[in-house]
Amino acid sequence: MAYSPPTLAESTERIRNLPQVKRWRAGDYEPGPWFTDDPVGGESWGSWGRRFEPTRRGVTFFETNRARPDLIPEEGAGADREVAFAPSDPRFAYQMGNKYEVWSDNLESLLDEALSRQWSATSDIPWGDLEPLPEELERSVCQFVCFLHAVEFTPSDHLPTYMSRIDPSFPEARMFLSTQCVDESRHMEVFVKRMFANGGGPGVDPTAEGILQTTPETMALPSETTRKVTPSRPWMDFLAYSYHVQILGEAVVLDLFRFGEFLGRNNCDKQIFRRVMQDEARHVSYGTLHLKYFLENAPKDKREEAFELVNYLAAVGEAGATGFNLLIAPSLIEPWAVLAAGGTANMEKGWEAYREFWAVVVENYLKRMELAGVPRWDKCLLPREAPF
Amino acid sequence: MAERKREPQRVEIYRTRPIEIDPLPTAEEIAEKLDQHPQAIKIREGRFSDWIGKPISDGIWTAWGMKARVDKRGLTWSAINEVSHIGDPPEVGEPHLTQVRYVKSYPLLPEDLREKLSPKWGGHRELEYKYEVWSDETPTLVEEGLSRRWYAGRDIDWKEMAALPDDLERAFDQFLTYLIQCQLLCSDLIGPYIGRISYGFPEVKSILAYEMFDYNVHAGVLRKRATSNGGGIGAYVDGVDAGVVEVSNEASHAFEGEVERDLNALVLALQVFFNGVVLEMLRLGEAAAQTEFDRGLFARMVQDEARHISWGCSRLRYYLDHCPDREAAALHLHEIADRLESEQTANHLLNPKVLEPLAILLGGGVEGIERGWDVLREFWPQIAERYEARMAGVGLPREGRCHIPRTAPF
Repeated sequence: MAYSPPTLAESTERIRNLPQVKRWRAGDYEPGPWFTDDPVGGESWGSWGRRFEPTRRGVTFFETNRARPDLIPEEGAGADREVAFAPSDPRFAYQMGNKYEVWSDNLESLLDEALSRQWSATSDIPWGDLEPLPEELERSVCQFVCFLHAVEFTPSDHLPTYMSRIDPSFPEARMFLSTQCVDESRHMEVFVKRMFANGGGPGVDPTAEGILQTTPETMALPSETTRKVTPSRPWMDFLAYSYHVQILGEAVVLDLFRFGEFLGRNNCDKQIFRRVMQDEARHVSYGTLHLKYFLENAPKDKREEAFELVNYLAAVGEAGATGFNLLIAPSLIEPWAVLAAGGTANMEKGWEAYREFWAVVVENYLKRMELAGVPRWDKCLLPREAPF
Repeated sequence: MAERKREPQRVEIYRTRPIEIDPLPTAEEIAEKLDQHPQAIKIREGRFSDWIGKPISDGIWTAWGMKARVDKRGLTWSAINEVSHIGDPPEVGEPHLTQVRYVKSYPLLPEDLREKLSPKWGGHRELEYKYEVWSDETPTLVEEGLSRRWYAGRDIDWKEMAALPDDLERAFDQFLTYLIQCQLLCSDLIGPYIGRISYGFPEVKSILAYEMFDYNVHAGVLRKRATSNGGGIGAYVDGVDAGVVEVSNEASHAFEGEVERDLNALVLALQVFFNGVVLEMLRLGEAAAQTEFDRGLFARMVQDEARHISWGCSRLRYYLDHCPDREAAALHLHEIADRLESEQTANHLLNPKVLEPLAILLGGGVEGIERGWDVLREFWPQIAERYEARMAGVGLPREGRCHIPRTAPF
């Protein structure tokens, strides 16, 4: 039914008749039960006597939670986990209300780290240090970051939707995802700024050439299957999204950044990649240990279902539908190889470096999956060696 | 209290769906496909793609030779916009795949394929008109947001936190409990819009990401303070979201279906109105805080909230100045304001769990509570005045129709 707002007169009347307003107008300022009831063990106050002596790191989530782990519930309350609800209070309903759906054993330390290591794409990069590069290399750097800036949108666009589904009883998980979201946004910024910082500018539409190479004949999977698992819309369960984005896609990107530091030709470029790599490592670390936590702590039926699902998603990802398709994207890997070669004249060296990179990416991924509790050593569908 | 809803509340976001499992090829079949992949063949043949295979003069490299100016702040969005051929965003964001407006669409990618891969509904093209999302202040405010960010780990000296008498600690913690609730609600409401905004406006996506981050940082810092100084988390404050969640849910349609999302309704409800109320409460909290440490927490938050409001106001102003039908848009926003003012006054501004802790703190303790109420009475007119001034600046004058009383009703 459409809402019809009250008239001004009705509003005034409504306000005048509020019981608390009547009480205050009568000079009765006695505070409510939130103040007058015993704060311990009552229904009108949440937690009392909470004390934490700041350490040299201040007050961190890691330390405060270690001091009182009993206060973190398995099931969310629809608000802060320590808050007191009056029986009449309506509770907010959240789609993700269980600890196992969002938690990881390293969550608090990653959150503390994320909060303390924020940086600015405007002022923390030594932009003034950039020196002109030979045309081929400037084109390569710009095309490389042009591709990377686009990749950053997958998490920054959709993580906030998942955040809004998480019960506030687990603020650490929400906060961590907010740090990831702002990290990705900053990465997009720093890559866009790098394009314009040294006279190169934006390169070619980063995904277009790869898309044009994608036909039913060249695709490892039918497009229907690919569409069902795309992380480009937040309609998958968080676990599935987290696998695709935080374990697979970002892990490939993390390795790209690691090599990016090596590929950087100057202090400015190296610093960009060093900083984004640190951020990305946190995201991958959360994703990996979140999957592990889920598989170890969810109810048995959910665990089994999740194990089967992640194995399927992994197979799809490995087959090239998501994440690993980055490894063969032309406007990503070609500039990478040119930078590794130092120019187009020495491309065999560049592709040799890329072949090594491919093997490292697959190896790192398999180690991570084992750590998460989903070993794929014998099942991995992606070749250990590059197909060229 | 005003009449309350008893049913569970929710910020409406569509539910996730199970994944259907399809049969998959074998590792050998995949290896074969990869071996024959056009890119693998291209590499083996020593060929390159257009990004370097074609000369600069071909026109794909749109800003070759242009260098953004680094100033004393560093490298800003404004500097990029000064040199880019598309610094000033177009009226409609291009139906790009995932790239920002500075990157030209690839001419060989057919229009129908682009449309198929980047559909109007369900993603970043839902809000693709400049008048729906832009404000000319956005690039500057993003940079301001960046340069003024603060971190609980680095910028707050927790050793300075001082113990308070029980009544003051309890009042302070109740006030913090209320603020935490507000911050999380704001984050819930604004977050899902980020992915619905066109890549033609990356500055807008960024400013909203920073804003969402601010809310979470605030909630985290306030929670740390409440749970480490001898007190704890207090009572849930029912009603602070009154009207705001409803307006937001109507604006978003749970982000489902092929319907317009009304970002501007949310901007009015959240950034301009709700943050406006929270800002007033923070100002009161700053005045009421008993220690330098506690005052410092609020002072930082005041700055952030003011920035969120500032962007919200600039957004609505831009919207009204550029939307196709200003009169209809203004009428719609006025109706939302009627609703918000009425619901929020009754449930938020006059909520005992918000005002009573403030009165105790402002009075220096429960014995001074009457003095605290006097301060609240004295402060009240500023709430309505500043809100009306803000709305007048936006182009939505509320004088004579504002539901927030000009004088304290208590």
